[in-house]
Amino acid sequence: MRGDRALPAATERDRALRATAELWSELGYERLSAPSISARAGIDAKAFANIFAEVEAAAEAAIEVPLAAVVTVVAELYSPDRSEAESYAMAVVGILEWMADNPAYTYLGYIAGRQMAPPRVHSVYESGHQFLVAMLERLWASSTLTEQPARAGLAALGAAEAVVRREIVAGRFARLPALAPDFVYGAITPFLGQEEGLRLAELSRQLVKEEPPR
Amino acid sequence: MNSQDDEPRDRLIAAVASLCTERGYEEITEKEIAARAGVPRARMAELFPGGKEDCLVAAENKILLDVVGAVSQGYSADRSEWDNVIHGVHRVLQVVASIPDFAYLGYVFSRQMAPGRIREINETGHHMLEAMLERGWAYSDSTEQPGCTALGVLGGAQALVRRELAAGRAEQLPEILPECVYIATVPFLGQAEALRLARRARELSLPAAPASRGR
Repeated sequence: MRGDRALPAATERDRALRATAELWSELGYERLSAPSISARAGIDAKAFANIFAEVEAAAEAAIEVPLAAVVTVVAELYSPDRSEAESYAMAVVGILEWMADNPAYTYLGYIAGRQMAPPRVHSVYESGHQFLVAMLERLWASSTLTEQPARAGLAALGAAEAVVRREIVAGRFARLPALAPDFVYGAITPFLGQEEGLRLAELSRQLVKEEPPR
Repeated sequence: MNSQDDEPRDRLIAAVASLCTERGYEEITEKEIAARAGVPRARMAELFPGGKEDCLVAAENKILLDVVGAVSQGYSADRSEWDNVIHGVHRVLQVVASIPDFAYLGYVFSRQMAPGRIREINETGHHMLEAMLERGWAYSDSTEQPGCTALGVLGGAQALVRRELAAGRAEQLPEILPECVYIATVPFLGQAEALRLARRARELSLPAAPASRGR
């Protein structure tokens, strides 16, 4: 499913963001500093100060990167010719591919970014989480269930995330796309049931299979 | 270990749990843990020769053992398998509600940037609970059994618990029993049966939670 992922040469801002994500994941938020980020990014301290007024601003921008990637993938793969659930299943494959290609941001989004960061940074993460929960809750519109258990979106997202979290903790990022069927089953079944969960899991499996070997 | 030894030990692990919840592991010192517990530092060194990490390991073990114990206490041979699941989940929610600092440690902190030993204990507990949940397939009519389902089920229920803990609503945890039952059973049994069990969880006359301790 991967398209042409050739990217323009990284700007100083891109390098600073990636360095922030890497150091945050390796050392924890408390040990982030402007000199260490600048050194890792290969830019001078003045350039860093011109881009980000403080470390907290760099952290806030870094945690927005995986959230923006998720929103972009979802938007790109949405089509009115498919059901919303089918679009989601395809988006899951795209998101897991992005995560496999971007381990530092993935670790930041799933593990390091959830630790004791300042409220401003934490609120960025929380907003992204709520966005994904709201997206999943939309699946109730396609459900035939007579009663809709509360907080199903939160639980479904937790179920799906748990599937990939273990691989992320173990540093097995390349295996993430292969988990798309399990991710999709966990996220879809609470809303649309086992049969549809299995059908969409199979759809995502086919998309992953189409991948050329890396 | 006799009761004279147990009391300061318990106070120390309660202190490390509450301090970690408040400020994170990196920020706290052994001096603060001893002061919060009201235990001399020399005594803390005797009980936990490895310092604050040993103390934290003991705290992590406590929440793991309490949760596993709660599942066991919820079991009765006189009930159906799924009624046992409902009672087990209810008992876990009660236990977690009664020790919010330890719960925060087990459900939130240990999943983040905790030392490797702490994560290993957490992971071990996770594997035990997953193995118990995998039994759900024995009652399923599904033609396929996706991998990682038990892991997902546990993750879904834990997401519900974490949200309540993060919001400081630990005492309300037993109230999310129906939602936990739904998310724990729907991948195995399908929507209709999961919904029936969630309704049953709501209707069952389950014992009230013990008074909250800790925070």
